[in-house]
Amino acid sequence: MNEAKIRKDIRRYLGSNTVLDIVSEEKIDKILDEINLKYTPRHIYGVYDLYVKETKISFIGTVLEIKSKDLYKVLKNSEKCIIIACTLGIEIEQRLKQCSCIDLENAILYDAVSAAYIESYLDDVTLKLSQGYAEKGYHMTMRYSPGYGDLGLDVQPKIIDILQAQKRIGLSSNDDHLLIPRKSITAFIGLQQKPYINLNNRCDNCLIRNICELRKGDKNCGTT
Amino acid sequence: MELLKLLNEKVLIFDGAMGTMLQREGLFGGELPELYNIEKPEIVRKIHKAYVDAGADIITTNTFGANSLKINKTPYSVENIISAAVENVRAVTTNQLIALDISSTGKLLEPIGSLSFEDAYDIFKEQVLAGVKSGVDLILLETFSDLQETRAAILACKENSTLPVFCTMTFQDNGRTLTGTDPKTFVNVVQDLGIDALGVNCSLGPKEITPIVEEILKWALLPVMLQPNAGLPILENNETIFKLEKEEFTEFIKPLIDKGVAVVGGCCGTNPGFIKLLKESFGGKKVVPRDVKRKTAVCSSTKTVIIDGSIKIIGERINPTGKTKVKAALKENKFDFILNEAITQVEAGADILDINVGLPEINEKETMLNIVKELDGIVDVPLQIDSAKTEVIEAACRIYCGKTIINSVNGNQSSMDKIFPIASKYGASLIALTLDEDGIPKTCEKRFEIAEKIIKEAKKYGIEEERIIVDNLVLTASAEQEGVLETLKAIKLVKDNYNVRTTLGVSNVSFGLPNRHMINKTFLLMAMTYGIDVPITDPTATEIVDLIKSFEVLSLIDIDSQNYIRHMDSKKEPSTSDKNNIEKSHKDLKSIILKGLKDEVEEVTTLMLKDNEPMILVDEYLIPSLDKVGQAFDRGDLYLPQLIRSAETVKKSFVIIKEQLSKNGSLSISNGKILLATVKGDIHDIGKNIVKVILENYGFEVIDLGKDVTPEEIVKTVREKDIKLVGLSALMTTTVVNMEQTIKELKEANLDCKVLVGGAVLTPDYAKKIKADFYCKDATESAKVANSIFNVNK
Repeated sequence: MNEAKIRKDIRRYLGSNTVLDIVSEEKIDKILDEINLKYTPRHIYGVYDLYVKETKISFIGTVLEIKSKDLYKVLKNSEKCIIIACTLGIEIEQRLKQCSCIDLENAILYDAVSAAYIESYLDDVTLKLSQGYAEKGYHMTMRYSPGYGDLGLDVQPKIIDILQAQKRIGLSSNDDHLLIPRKSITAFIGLQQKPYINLNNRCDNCLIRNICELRKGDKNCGTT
Repeated sequence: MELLKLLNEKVLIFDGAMGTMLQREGLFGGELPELYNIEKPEIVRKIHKAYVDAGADIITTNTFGANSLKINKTPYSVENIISAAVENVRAVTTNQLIALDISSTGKLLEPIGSLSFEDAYDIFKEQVLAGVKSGVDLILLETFSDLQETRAAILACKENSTLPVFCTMTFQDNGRTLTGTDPKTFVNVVQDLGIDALGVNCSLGPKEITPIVEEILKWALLPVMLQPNAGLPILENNETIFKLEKEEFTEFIKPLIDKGVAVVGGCCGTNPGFIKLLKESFGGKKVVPRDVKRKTAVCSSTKTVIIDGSIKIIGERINPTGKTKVKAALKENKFDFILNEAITQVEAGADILDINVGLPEINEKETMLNIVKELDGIVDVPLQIDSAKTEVIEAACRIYCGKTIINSVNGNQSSMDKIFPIASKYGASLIALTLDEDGIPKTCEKRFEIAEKIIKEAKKYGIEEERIIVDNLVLTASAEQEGVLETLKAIKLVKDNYNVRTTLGVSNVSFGLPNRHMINKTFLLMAMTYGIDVPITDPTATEIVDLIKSFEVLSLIDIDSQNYIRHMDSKKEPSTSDKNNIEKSHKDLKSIILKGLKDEVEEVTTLMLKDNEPMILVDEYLIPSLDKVGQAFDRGDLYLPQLIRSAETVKKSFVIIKEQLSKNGSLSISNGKILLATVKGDIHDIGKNIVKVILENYGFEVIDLGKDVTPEEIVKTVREKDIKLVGLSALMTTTVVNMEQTIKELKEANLDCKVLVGGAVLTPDYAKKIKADFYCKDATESAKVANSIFNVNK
């Protein structure tokens, strides 16, 4: 785990770009220890051959077909695509709930820490996969999740079905297609022969690109 | 059905994987395998036939996910699919049994997920009825990872069929299911629900599954069933495969058969070859008998408390009788207070929590159900359902995800007639009060007689002695002094004659005497020497837990004093930073708020109230300090955690000030009523909760409707409670539309109220576009808006 990045993300979620006060930092340490010790993040993925025609992307051997200009931009040179899902599990959800009725400060900290943690967990998994595929001569594209650009959340239940994520890692979605437990991520990662260059400004893929306060101030949120 | 008579006599063989086999036949990822029953029946029949030929005694229908949530999206009905599936098995079987396969709905149940218990029940009911109609021989509930969903499925089977039910859950490498249930809890919760066999399937390979099966064998009074995967899943050439060979698979299972497993088959990655070998190795072998004794087990969804030997504490504080704060919280629907009481008692050492919400002014059933649901996951200790109303007890036992204790039944025939069927159906234990039509008897012998009557009557319902906890009812020493010893002697008498457990409501003894706590403590100590197992008491009261822990040392229950030492160690743990801060602070309320010293604020507020009017504290200390913190936050000098820390400090101070105000007979502080809600579809509520605490700090009364709230509910509440300001929160672009809709409906209803909005994806422009009256970028801003609307000039 990239501790430095986790901490940077936690602070960013809490509205800061510098070290927080000592009490908060100490509490964050404690929560990180608790997550490391008590909670088990899990992931599952599948690799599928792609058939891409215009903006329609088909995942061979599955029933999944996606129409998305923005996902197409990412996957247009890819032969294969990894579909991955990960979750920090239900226990952290219960801990968050417990905190929000007795200690809101802790609830905020747990929320930020667990969000940064699962993101970093997925970074690690992705890195390992990219090393494995590099040996086979593949380059990875950026990680692209439902909710980015024009890729709707309605693809979440399909991802869950294809990966059997409910049975294998306890991940499901609710009627509004939100992932349950909440500290979970799903994503597509293309595999291609040529090196991947992200021609998009990173903000281009963002859901809130038109209304982002940071962008108006010519900053960015640091998400890659 | 002859075969079922052999259950637990001879080892029975189930079939193996269906999904794996269908994938080989070309099933696509994400495709519903159940549709093959109708669209490609020849493939399904071929697979069933292969398992029949391999020697399986029981063949499972291809109906794993044949529930309405999945099937309703297809051209078929659940009944179509299930009847075709059963027909596909019947077409190839001779004397084999047909098991209707039912697994998870695929949705997570409340409170973390959104599917209600009753909806889950209805979904399963439809499957069960279709299975019964198609003439299956038994029902297999399998690959469940949520205990509550498993309970819903079992109840659906038991209430809609007379078929035998086999039930298996799937466990992870940490020894728990994905929702945190351990094998011991699984067994204790489901085995008294009237099923016929239980065990493990899927999960891991037979090697990794071994410790889980061993634990189940240790607790299960029913036949144990096992269907592991062919090892752990591995991704190879874009495909998930299971690599364990059938010989190794069988080799790992052998020791488990030797320990008493009675039914065996395969899950993911297995094939007819595996089943053939299982049949050759174990088919028809005599099931190895196990010596399992029933224990008094009480369970939440993640924890089992065994009442046997050591003293367990039932926390008594969630009960409105004589407790004004609990009463007020229940009347005002302030569940946070109740949840807090629960957490405090658990932290103090409660093993079980008694839940009593009996107040004539409220809807007891609804309140009980809400609290029981909400507490699941918030505290991990089991709950005891305490009510005088049968319907409340029944409803709570049904919804409670665990194995509860019913408080209570007594020697009145009518009480036993009403309560025993509930306990029997839901597998609950019971507190048995030794009173009957003639009231509470004076002597210990008479109390014993009533206990005996209850124990014997319970047996008629299949309720064993171990599920009965006798309460010999202590009377107050001030009125019935000689009765106290009779109560204590009765503990010994019932325990000498029956394998029941005993309890007492300890604090009852001291009514009407000075220094009640001393009497309570002494009585508890005496009761422990007489053999009480599980006193009902207040674990937060001084030295109660210490007394119990030290008693356990001296009476040789706590060997090597380990629990005692751990308990004493856990009592001292102030965080270093908090401690340093406290020492450095000048005991000044303003600096305490600025620094957010939550632990210190109550003491200082109480002290300052001696010399100051309550409102002076609010106007000259609380509000100015809050303003200062808010300004520092606006400037970026401090961040969200600090803002909240200060706000929670103020909140604690406010509680004490409000108490003082009500003692003085002054009106409570209310600058106005504000409704807060996270809009429909959005399940993020931290932002809203931050706004809530800040608004409350500024003296506003917040009506918090929670998250995922429909426009209708908001409009209805605004109308009913005459609310002038509504705060809406949305965190996602997809839910901002629901915010817009809510505002639209509020305006259309012609309600005289303003709407302020906030949340990560909103901007001032967007807020204007959706016709909100105010946009607030953060919580401090919302306080400013509220102050201006309600003309609060501070």
